Amino acid sequence: MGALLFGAWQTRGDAPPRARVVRESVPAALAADAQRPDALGDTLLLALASVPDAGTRAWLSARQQAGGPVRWFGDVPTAALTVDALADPAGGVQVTVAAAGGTEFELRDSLGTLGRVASGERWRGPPVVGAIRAESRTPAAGASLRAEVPTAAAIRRVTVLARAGWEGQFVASALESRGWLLDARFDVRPDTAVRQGSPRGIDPRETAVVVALDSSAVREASALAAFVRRGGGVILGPEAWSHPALASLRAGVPGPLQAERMIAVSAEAPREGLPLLPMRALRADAVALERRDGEVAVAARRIGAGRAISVGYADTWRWRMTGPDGAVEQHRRWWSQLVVAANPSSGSTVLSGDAPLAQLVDAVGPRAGPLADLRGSDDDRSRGHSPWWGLVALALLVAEWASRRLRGAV
Amino acid sequence: MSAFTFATAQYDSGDWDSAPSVPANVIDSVARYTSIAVNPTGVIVALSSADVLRYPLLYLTGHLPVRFSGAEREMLRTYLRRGGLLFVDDHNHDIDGQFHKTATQELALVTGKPLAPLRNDHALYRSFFTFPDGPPTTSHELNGWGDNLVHKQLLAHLDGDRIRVLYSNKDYSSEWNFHPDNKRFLSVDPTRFGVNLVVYALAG
Repeated sequence: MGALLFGAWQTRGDAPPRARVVRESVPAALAADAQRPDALGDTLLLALASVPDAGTRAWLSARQQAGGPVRWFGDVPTAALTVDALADPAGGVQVTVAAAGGTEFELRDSLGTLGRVASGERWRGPPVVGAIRAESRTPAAGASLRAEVPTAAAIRRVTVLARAGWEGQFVASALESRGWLLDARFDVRPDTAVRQGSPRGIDPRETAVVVALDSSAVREASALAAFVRRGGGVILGPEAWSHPALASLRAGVPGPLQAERMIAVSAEAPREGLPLLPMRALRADAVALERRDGEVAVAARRIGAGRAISVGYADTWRWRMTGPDGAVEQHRRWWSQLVVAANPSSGSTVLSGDAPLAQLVDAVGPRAGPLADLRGSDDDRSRGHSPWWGLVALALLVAEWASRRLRGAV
Repeated sequence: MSAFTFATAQYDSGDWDSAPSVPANVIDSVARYTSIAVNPTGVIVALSSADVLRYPLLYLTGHLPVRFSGAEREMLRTYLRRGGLLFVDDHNHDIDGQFHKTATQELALVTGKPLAPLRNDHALYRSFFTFPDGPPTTSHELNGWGDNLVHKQLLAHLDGDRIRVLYSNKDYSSEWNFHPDNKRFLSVDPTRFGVNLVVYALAG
């Protein structure tokens, strides 16, 4: 009897739930929902060819949370745009686009075309005006993305540690002329140093990056290690990272030194002629940033909250002095980019543009299986709620009652 | 890391090699007072050659009129634009002399403007030794030779506060051109200012 009552309760007078497939306008389907008080009981099956806009996604999310199931399927082109404001005194942005492999996007700001970038690659350029748009001409990508440019993090100080020499002098000059707030200590002899700026303790709250060019930084080895763990950035020249005292920060072990090459270098490969102490046996957490002739010339690691970059090139000042036209600016920009890369605070300014697919998944869940499966499972569920079961239960109940009455009458 | 090399500029006109002992005496002082890695001998580089770009501190002196060739002028422009520092000393100690008149004209042609007095509290005067009154005097000045003047200031062409060209009428070329064996008899080493110049170039 109880089972029968349970069956009858299960067949209480609600309309049977349905699965509705929406192939055209999702907003129209949602508007139709609003006209029917019982529409929330339906499972909305969205056949998507593109990701619904932000407003529609919000509606879908609200429907889901109100108890109206939403599921979606289909091949949705996916793309997302990320714009980072570089923490570089000269300003500038870094743009990356995530999309199907190899898709190329044209980048624009309010003043026109900035350049082109392929999916997975980085595009770096000067400061932009207004928001950045990335548009793909590939129908499969079908994306037009837009992102505002974030405000760059405040420029913090850079400290250069070196013995008095051309390398320290020209690296400091390059960074300072690029606009970095610079402190420097150049050792002239063991008890005497020339200081520039306002040299302070190696503290990540005040200093973004320490550039340690040679073994004069060895006496700060433990302070530098602590500085990186606490969120500072360190750039180590070849004589610094190859020193055992700074081994905990380096990316690999030194290979044989390649002497300066007396060759005519081009603007495309301006570091070809520099002396190089290559890095070998890279640590598992190290990433090679630059190679020359197959050898790792620059590599980076994350250590604790900070970063350490090992630079294999020595005497980069020769590049500035003897390099091809534009060498002064190239040298300046290259060192500044290393400082940006080593500066963990530059990562905090990342602002992602619209990532619609991620937001769709966040709103209504991941992509469902094929439509046939969805319908099948929904039909099964509908069968479980068939009104026929109620009628059968009612008939059995009447039969039971009649049986008792008839037996009692005898 | 490459060691410091003292370089003397060789130019087509004039007597560029009038103070041959200066490099050795400055090198000796740099090695004596500092731990800067320094090559034991200097080099002579043609001002018209791209080799000058390998030596970001260049010493130029003479007594005779200076007329740079087009190639020398162009290379010197490149040298200064890329960050080199040229130290020019008037070996005559004479502002009416031919070297001074022609060299200052040539430098103005190269830099685009005349040399200007360098203030006496510039970092150059305290980069290693401290010279509170600016450039140290020379015995030639005090003995009334040349123009019979004690020059209170050096001249310079600056890029911001950074010296690109340093010009002296004080005749350091004579003051620093002593035989190395005589240094021990000097009560005050006159090349100390040379050390300041080198340290300023490398770390100023």
